Amino acid sequence: MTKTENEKKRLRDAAESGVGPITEEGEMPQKKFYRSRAHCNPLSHNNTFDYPIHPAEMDWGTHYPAIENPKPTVLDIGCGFGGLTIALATLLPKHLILGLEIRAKVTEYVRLRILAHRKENPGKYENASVLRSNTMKLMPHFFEKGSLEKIFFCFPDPHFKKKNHPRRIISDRLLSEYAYFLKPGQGKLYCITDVEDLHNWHVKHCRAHPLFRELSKDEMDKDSCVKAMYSETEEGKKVERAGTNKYYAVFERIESGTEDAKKITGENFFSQGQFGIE
Amino acid sequence: MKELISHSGPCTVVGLNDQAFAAIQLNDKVQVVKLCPPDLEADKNIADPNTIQAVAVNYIEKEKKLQCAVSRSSKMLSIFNFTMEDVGKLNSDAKPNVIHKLNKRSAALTFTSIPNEGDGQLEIIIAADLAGDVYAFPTDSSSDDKKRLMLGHTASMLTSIKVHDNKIFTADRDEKVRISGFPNTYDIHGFLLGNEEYITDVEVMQDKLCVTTGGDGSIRLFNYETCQQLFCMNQNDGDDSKKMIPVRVAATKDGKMIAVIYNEENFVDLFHITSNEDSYGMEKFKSLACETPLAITFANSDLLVLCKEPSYMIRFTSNDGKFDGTQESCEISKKVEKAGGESGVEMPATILETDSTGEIKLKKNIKEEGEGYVEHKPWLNGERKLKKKEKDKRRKKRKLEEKIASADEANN
Repeated sequence: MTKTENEKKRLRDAAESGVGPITEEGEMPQKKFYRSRAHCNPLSHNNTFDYPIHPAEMDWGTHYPAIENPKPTVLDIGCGFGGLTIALATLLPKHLILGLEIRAKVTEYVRLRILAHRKENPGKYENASVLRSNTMKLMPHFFEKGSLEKIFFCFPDPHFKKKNHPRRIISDRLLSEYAYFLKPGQGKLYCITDVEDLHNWHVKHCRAHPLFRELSKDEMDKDSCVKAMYSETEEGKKVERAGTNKYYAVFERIESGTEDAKKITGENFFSQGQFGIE
Repeated sequence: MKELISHSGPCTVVGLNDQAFAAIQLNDKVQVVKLCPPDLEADKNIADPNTIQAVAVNYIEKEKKLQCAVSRSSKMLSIFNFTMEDVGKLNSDAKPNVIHKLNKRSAALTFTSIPNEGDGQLEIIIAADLAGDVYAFPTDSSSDDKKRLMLGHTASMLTSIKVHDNKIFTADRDEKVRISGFPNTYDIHGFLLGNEEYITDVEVMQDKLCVTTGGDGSIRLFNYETCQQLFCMNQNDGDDSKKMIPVRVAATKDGKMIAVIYNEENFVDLFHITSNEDSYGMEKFKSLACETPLAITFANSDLLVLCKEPSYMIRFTSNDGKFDGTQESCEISKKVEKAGGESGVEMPATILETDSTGEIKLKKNIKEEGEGYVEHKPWLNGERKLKKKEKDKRRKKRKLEEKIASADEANN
């Protein structure tokens, strides 16, 4: 028997013996049963996700059963074990928070964690949920134009090798998509990392994108979400224990047509580089 | 996907497997020019480096200039620039004036221009590739650093590209057509959603209308301003074994009529686009027989069809939009037939690429639930928890024993 056949047999036996799930719904899950490999290639593994054809067909009701006609407006992309998603639920009670995670086990952990929180604190945490998906590919199927107010990228996979840079979650190509989903004049994009090189990459690409404006230090200090992002994520706490630095930046989606970008003309078309960068 | 025919002004460019020809209508005759591949040595790992992926042509009326572009499997994009005065003097073989090396094979090309700050405009060629990226290149210089990334679909393949009304339309193998601003491609206007499988082609028309064809067998009409689907038609009845996959769509200039060809079928379907206040529809009014059509385009009001064999190009005359089946043997098709016949071209049977098992490459390999397939959900396996408990117990016991042993040792 090959390794995979063995695995299948074991799973089938487990299903037959009826031992049941590791954590019952409503019970607080233990992290040790949901650990998963830290890296995932977002450019493959694309055929396993379920998604609606059109965002209007998405049933968010199963995600937010206590809320009428729900539509998430705050995304925590790459939510990991859900520290920030949970923190944002109490920090932004009027918003619906959605954590997005590509790893199955980790997503299940966050789902159970939210259910446990809901059970423990009736009436609270009803505005938080989690979804397993690949945001680099599938966002247009879930969200409508200008429907999001905040997008968080907390401690994303740095993908150090140059060869793997296309896998980074913030890139020229994807920033155009994020700009499409964020509400013009209001929507904000938050990014934080403990890798200085990656932070420089984030800042360079966001600054160069004509539809984003960098928030000043003062503006960031006034934003309570920045504080949450700095201290509440699991990864952030780990970095704190290790005593290394955290780097962050916030960008606002400006109205289309008000961008400061130079008008694209025949003369400057090729000298501007990609999207006018460099 | 392959794009094998393009028409602009007096010129039609066709890709016949590994040879491209430009047929140019001069006052009294037709000049056929063979568009030769570049002399550069191609990558030896590519099996058929000269196989044509896409062709495009652009006639600049003001300057009486012709631009032809051919992209091949060798990932080379060659551009040929002619002035109409020179055409009569041309040899039958033309060498490319400009060559661009692409990162990936390009399956769709389009010419367009960017207005200058001052007078005139910059002519560019836009190539959509099989990695989901769209690049713009100059048409007059081969300089390596002169290219611009316009946009990119993550981990996808592009099948068709159109530029129209300050917008750029890109269709991919993931059920989506993306509409971005042009030339400010960083500002996305919207997505056309509704297709259930890969999209094979998109055609943009007047009155904010556009048509998509897809691997699910559907032909859909959209309003691209609101991104709403107006009408959907699927001629398949669920039987997958004889599914008709529409692969190319072309529209007349007034947007009143579209022509559709299907994968490995023997006809062209013609539809009228009907509109009645806010409701739209498509009515099939004609099916024209021809041998395995591979590409279509409207030339003025006539329909040009590129077929597998044996005449390569057929021209169906419009007859005031009736298309009553007359195949006019025009000089262009005769010349193309002759040129193709002389060089012994063997046409492919389909423009959809298939892998070694015969599956269409654009189609996603989705695992179906069924025998032998168990979804991996380790969190449902409570046995892990029991095992962990036992393990912990054993560990505790071992630790205790060790402790006693070491205490004993110390006592001794």
